[in-house]
Amino acid sequence: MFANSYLSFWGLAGLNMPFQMVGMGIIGLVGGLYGKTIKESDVVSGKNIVEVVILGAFLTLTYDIITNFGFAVQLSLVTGVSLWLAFVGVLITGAVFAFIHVTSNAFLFMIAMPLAKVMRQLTR
Amino acid sequence: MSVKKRTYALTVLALLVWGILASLLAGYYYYSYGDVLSKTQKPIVTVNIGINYGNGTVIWHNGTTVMSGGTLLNVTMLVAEVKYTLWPGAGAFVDSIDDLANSGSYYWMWWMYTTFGWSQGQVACDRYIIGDNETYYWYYEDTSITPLPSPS
Repeated sequence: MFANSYLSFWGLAGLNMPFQMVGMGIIGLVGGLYGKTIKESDVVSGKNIVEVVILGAFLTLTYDIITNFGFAVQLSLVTGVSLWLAFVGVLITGAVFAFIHVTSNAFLFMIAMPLAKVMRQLTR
Repeated sequence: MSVKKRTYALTVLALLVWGILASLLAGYYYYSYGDVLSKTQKPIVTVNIGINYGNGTVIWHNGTTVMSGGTLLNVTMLVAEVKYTLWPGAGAFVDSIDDLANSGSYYWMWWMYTTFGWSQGQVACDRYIIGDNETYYWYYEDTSITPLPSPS
């Protein structure tokens, strides 16, 4: 997280870092719990890939909403506008980014399961 | 969890993602439409443009009048010599203003004065529709500094 905070293409995370940590923590937790429900033999089945794509899209959106909330908190503190107004404003102005983020991640999650299987085989 | 429940939960999640994203995009387009509509109510708009050449020289072109619906690039080209490159999908990237070209970490960045102070331009200058009485600022600045120094 610290490395990402300082090296990210989007610049310093700053005060948004705690919100990023919460978002990534949730993603890690859900991913870990989900992984336990999958049988090794079903990893690259069509059903699992669809599940992972949906879950990945949902978690990406959750992450975006949490980090947008973090940015709205900062915006509200700096400008004095209400937190609710800042949050709605940030969500709306970030809508196009969120759409690209969710759809690109959904695509990446589509290849994540076959990739995970290959990597597991390579490390054995 | 049974297969039926699992399928149901994932369908709900998929619909939730679609619903939230569609609502956000609808909100974005509603806001953008209202913004453009409000900026094109008057046939002619008056704007202020400051150009900071990075060497202490700042030239203001206050009260510049242009047809409404124009972009920041259009109005900047009225007051200065601008060279730019068009990047498909991203818009115009300003290479130089009055023969002062981007060099090293120094680039031409644009800012706008808002009720909350100076705000960095969020889109390419040819994508921003100018509004009446707005104030813009071209700043030749060191972009390796984070956060980027604002005009004030």
